[in-house]
Amino acid sequence: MSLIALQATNPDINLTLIAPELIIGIAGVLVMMIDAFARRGQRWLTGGLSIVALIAAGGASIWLGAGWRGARSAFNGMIVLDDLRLSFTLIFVVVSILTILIAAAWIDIEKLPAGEFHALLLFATCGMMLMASAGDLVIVFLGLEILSIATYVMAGFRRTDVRSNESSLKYFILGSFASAFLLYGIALIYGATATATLPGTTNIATIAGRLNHSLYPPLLLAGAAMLLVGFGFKIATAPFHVWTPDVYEGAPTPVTAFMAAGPKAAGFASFMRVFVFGFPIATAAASTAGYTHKSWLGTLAIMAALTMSVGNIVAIVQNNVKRMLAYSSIAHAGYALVGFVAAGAATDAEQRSAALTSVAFYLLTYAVMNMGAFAIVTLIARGNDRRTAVEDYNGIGFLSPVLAFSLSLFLLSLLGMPLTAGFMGKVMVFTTAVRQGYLWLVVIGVLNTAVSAYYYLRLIIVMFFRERNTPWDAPRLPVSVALALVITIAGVFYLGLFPGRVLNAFGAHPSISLSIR
Amino acid sequence: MILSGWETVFFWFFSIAAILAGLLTVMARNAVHSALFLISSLVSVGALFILLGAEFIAGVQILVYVGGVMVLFLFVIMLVNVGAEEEGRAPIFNRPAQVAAALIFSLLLVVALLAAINKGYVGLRDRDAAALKQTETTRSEQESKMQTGATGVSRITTQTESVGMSLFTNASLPFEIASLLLLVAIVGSVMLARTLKQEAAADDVDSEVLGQAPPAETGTDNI
Repeated sequence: MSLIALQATNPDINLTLIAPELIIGIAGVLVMMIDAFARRGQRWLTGGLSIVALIAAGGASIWLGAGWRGARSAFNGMIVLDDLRLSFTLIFVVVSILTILIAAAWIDIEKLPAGEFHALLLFATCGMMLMASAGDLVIVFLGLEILSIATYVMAGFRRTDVRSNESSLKYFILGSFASAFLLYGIALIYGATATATLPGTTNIATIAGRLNHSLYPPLLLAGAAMLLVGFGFKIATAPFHVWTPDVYEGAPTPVTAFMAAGPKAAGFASFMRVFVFGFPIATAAASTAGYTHKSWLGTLAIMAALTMSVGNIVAIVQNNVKRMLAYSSIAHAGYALVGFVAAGAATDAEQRSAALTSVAFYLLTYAVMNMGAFAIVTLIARGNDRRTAVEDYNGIGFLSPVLAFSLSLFLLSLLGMPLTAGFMGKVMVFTTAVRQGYLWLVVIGVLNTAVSAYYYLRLIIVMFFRERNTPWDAPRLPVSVALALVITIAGVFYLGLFPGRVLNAFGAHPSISLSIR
Repeated sequence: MILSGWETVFFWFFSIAAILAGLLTVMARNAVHSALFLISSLVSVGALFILLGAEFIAGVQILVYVGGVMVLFLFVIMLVNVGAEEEGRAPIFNRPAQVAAALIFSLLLVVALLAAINKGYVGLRDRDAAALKQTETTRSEQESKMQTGATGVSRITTQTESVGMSLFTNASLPFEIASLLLLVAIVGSVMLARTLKQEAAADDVDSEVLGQAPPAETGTDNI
């Protein structure tokens, strides 16, 4: 009987809806093949092909957003097409292109195998895209694992360096632990959503519909808590952030830049989809759905406050620039969580989409300025990441004005100076939070921004006003990194001055961006 | 489902065996013993799956975990020759505070999960007693129609068929994505595990850049 029912179901295959993921996946395999057969002088081919594929995937997702008039979901709801997915896909494309540009110089200097790096990066991007497009917890998990495994290897890419090995191993062990939590949570949710007649489900939309019919409400809460832990680890929120500094410090700098911007955004994409759409706000607060929603929202608000405070306060005492940026990335995850909380608390679809857009926009701005900052850290660190202490930045301001001024710009943007992208991102996130009544969270956020001024400005002061005792020659600025810097600087100003177009593309209602200006 | 007769014996035997073997896995001092205990724990869990009528999962459990993963484990343990740990007289646990924290959290987890499952079970039993009875009768009806096993006593469910069906219809996309996951894992492990000499032989990197000036044979001569 069940067999016939299964035969009757249509697998609902729609390759158009997974076109960006397909392009990236195929390009990853092609890059490996080319790398195996290319001669010594043709190594640039893999990087070039990767960038072309990423641009093609970006184009495909823009076309899906603007020109596609067909079904909005495929594979029986496993893949969905909405603004959340498209905006995050574009963030991933930007992050990966910038990573390739920044890494080109590093791979060249240290004579590392470029083909493997580009292939792994493309696979990681494919995993991130799947995480953003997943309408089913199974796809979320598979995407996360593809992303994580590729990132573990990339963190250990400098195989002869002990710090890189440590970083990779720590990330691997703790990351597997977090994945296990996530998987356990998925299994519990599956069990909790079973009804007397139907088996459980991992489809996010179906979960939302089954919450009030759950036979095992406490199991639902336990599953949601495990999912919260798993995702919280992946995006480095406060109680689960302990791995971040060591991993970020030990990994090669371009990989750190990627980890801070890409996987974090991907984690947010699925985290938001699972919780905002899977455990949505309920009209009846006394029901199971209402209780579940209230529980995770309260937990998340506290986590946001903790994450912001811990990240910023601990960053003050760091003497290594990469460590400092690692804690700064924790703090920025906290700011983004504020927008997430607002999205969870929003009662109508329009406000919810505005809040989701603000988080996506925030992560885009963070990605741009963070990649820029790490590009310069890569150059100053030289081969093997030898120079990453704050003292290494002593007085380089006027010895290498281009690098110092761009780094200052990125730091000011990370701090949230007006006219820069960072300011606009914070304004968007905090506005949506105020609108949902989370004033206390915004106050904590603003206070934390003030705290963060100390360590961002300290690096600028060190660069421009401190004496340098040892001789220092400015690092050569390779073309690829220069290109990355041009893109990121232009991005910082463009997103800071004219955010309206990007916000509209990300799906916010136009009135939101107008009311800000 | 109420356990009765030999099913009860079967269930209690294998569940206690699984728990005991799991404990011994953690507590054994010798890594090989740990691996062997893990095998017996996995086999017991496989037997429990058979009791649940999930022959496919039981088969996969035995084939993949016991047959594949554990043999690899043992192979690695014997190759690497982990001997230092078993000879030491140091206490097996790290620090009292760590043990206490781990115990408290695992206890909390166990209590919460047991409470959740129990509450759900009780609620289910009370609310859907009629529906459950209905399900029970339809299930036994279905079971009577199933093909009998070789012994003529047990019956073979169609679980395996339905797993196969859904794997290639509903779950075709995750199935394909899993292949990408495996590809990434293979590429990554080859990338990390190959020796410097192999990397140099891939003709894209000079061996001296990687910190190993001459090939290995002359390198030992220098020392």
